[in-house]
Amino acid sequence: SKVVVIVSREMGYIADWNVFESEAHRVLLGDPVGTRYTFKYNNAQGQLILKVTDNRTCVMYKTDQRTDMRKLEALTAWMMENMVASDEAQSTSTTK
Amino acid sequence: MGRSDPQAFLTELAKLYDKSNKRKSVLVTLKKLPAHKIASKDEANVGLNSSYCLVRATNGKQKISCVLSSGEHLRFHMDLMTLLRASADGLKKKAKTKKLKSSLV
Repeated sequence: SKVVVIVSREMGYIADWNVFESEAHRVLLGDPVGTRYTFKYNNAQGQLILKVTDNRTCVMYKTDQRTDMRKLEALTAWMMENMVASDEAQSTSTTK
Repeated sequence: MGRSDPQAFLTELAKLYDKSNKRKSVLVTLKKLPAHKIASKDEANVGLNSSYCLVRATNGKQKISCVLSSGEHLRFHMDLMTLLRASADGLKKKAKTKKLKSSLV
C-alpha cells in the first residue's frame, strides 16, 4: 500500500517587521534543531533579505533601509542565544 | 567546506564580502547543532546536553563555516554585525526632513 506524504509550504515576504519577527520566533521555537536562519546582502539591489525556515514554513523579510540593521542585529542575537542554549534552558526560557 | 574557528571565520567572511561585486551576494546561515552531531575527537569538551550554533557562509563558489559554543556567541555576534554594517554599504539612509520652525505671531 502506498503512503502519500503531503508537505505544505508557505512562502512569502512579510511586509511588517513585528509580524515577521514573531513568526520567526515561532518557527525556531517550534523546531529548534530543524530551523535555519539566513541573511543575505544583495549587492545588485542594495537589499537585505532575511529568511527563517524549518522546511515546512518559510518566512522572509527584505529591506533596503539602513535603519533596519538594528532589527537584524536584534533578531540575530536572539537566534544565536537560542541556538547555543542547552535543551533544558530552552524548555524553561520564555520567547523573548 | 572549510571548518574554522570563529576568528578565522570572520577573517574569511570579510574576504568574501570584499570579493563580492555587483553580481554576487554573500549568504550567511545560522543553525542549531546538537552536541552529538559534532564529530569531534576531543570528546571531553563536548557536553552532552549542550548545543552549538553552526554558522555557514558562501558567495556561491567558496564555502566557509564555524561552530560557536555558548561562551563565544556574544563576541562573535558583535564582530559579525560590525562586519555586516561595513559591507552592506548600498542600503538607503533615512532622509532627514527639515523641521519647519513655527514662527510665533
